[in-house]
Amino acid sequence: MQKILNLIRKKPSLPYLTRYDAEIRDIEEPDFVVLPLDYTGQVHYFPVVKAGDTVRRGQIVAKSKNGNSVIASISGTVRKISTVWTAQSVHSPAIIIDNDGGAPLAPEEMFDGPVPAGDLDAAMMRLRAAGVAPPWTLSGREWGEGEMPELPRIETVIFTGVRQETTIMTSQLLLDQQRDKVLEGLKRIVQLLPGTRVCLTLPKSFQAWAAPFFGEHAELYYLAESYFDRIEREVVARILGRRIPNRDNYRNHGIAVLDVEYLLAVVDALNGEAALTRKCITISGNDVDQAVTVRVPLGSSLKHILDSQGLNFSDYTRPLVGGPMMGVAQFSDQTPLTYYNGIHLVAGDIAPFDAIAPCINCGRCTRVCPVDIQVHLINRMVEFGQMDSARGLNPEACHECGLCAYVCPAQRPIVQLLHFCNHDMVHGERFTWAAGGAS
Amino acid sequence: MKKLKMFEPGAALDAKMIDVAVGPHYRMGSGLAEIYQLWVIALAPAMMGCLFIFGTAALRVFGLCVVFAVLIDFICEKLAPSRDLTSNWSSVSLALLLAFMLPLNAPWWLILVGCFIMIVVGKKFFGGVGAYPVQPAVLALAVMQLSWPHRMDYTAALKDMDWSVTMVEPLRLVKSVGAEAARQYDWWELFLGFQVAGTGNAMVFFLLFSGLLLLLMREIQWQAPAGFAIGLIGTAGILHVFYPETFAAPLFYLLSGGTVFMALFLLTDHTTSPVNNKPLFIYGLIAGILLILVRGYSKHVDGIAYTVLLVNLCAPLLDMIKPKPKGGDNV
Repeated sequence: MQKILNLIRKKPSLPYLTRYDAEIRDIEEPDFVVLPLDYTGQVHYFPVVKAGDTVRRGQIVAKSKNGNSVIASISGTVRKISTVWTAQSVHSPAIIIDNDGGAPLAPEEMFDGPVPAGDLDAAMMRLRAAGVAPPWTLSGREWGEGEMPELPRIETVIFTGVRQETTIMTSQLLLDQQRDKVLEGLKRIVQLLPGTRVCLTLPKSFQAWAAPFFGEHAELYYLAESYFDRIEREVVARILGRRIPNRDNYRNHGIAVLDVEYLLAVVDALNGEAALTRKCITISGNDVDQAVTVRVPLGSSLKHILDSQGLNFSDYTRPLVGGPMMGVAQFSDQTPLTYYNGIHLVAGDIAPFDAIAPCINCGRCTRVCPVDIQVHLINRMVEFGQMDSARGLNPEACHECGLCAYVCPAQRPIVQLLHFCNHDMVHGERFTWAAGGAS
Repeated sequence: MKKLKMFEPGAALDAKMIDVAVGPHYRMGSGLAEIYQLWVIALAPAMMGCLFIFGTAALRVFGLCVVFAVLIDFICEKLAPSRDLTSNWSSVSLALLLAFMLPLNAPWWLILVGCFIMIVVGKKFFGGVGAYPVQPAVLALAVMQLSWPHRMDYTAALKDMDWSVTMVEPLRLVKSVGAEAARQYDWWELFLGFQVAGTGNAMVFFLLFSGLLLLLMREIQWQAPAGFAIGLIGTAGILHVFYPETFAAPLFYLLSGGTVFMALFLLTDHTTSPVNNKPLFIYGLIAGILLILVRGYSKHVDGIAYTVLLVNLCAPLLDMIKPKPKGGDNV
């Protein structure tokens, strides 16, 4: 039925989760956690502990040059400071902490009470110390040592109560179950940044209770149950009425996009109650009967999270971190999870990749493209090495949402071809496309 | 090359086969065959109409055409392997389109030659499905009309039919006698397919039904047929007002010959038409204007073959009309 509907609809919708467990399960602490310190395009963090040190949950283990911090998510001993492959396949330095079952730091040991209301500077210091601006959200690799450029004042704060991937339920479950705390957080943000536009995105099904509940404190945007309506860059562009270039950070334009999960962490930090050491992750899959959402210590391995739910990494052909559209397939079950909110387990070959299929110019890719680029021309130009022609068609507007390859009847690797083209443009490197990859 | 250290902590991996492809990790499409099967399904109502009106004679043309086209396609694939596989059903869909335009009494050798031109010259020489610059079925039709004009004569093909309508091709009669000849044809007879034409290209009613199926399946866009209808009615209307003795009323041109077949099935072929809405509309508009000019000012009677060939060559140019991308210009 879905297939027939997708044939008729102009914009196809991905099947979304119909069966999920609304309860967020706490799982036990792992034997060790791995805290990567380096993310693509974000500032570097430097460890402030060394191998053999004993740390406690909530303690700062690494700092950036701007004072932001990485927090130990379990108590234990630092095994070593080494390098790991993160979920995005980035080779990064990391701190590995072995669990010794020690007590976490008490709130009064970490912070000196709640932050006074309306004090922006004190609030910013507190958020940095509490790890609420975690390493994967702070850009600024290009900034020089010790310098913090003058960033524009924040004019719009967008809280996402819906994740763009339809299989990730964390934000909407938290929003539903901790609505009082979310409301308190919204009030706090309005207090700290007076005159700022505060927006909140919600699923359409929340409209009945959310409109009177949050209506006074934020502009509410309801998103439908389909990937097409939830692509984050498109949602932000719709809310702002203008577009932020793909390679530019939202913060450089005075916009903050934060998940509801971090809004809750902000409330905890400002009240002086806890630092950000736990994260919610939804486990779903085409073979998983019911999606479950678990709360795990930051830096737990994929294996630990799957084991806690009785799932086995090797039963699946494509275990993804993230969602089914933009997620990253993992080659190792030891990958530490810090940035992503979802695990999607793909069994069987449901996304075959036909590297030699000819394009028949049917135009589905171009019609579905949310940024209106001529995908049907670009992908063939790249395939036949006509990079100069492809450059004239604005391939840089592509933010790789994956819809073109999703609808392609010939199963062509369109996202790879576009990425290849953009890579060529940015780095000025010349590759030739061959079936099976670049050479 | 610098050797990268692999991940250290924890145990060795126990998975046997892992697919580390990039997203999207689901696909809606399941191969090219799906697209061409949809075309064949959509053509089925029109084929039913032909069988209803002509009986087994139509079945012979359809069958021979499909068999020859698939065989030639298969032989080509064996002789010169390419990424255009017989299993993608494109030869079946093309063969049916060609069969719709053949006369009912076409001899088997003519069908064979037509299929050879369509598959080998029209499709394989240019690199297979998705690479041809003009619609292969139309190319084959044009070659056959030039080479065997008497064999391709629709009027002779239907001379044994016992219908109550004038048994001459409507457009040929208008061309030789003048616009008054159009009064001999009732519009509803033309609409129901009781007119002298090819095997299936004048079954207006059934073709509209098939086209509606294609539109609903989002195989074709409404812009091209709409632009075509506007261009044709506009041009024919203007010419009818100024030269009433040469040009009949627009409705006559719309219903007679292969006009509807061309608008819904030949113009809308994916490979030879532009993609975005605006170029597609202009493409249809040009086709509509050209068709009336070809019918009025050339020696060709129907003229759909030459119109489609000409307008197909405009498609790459029209594709350069690009919509403004959102969020570009920032590299």
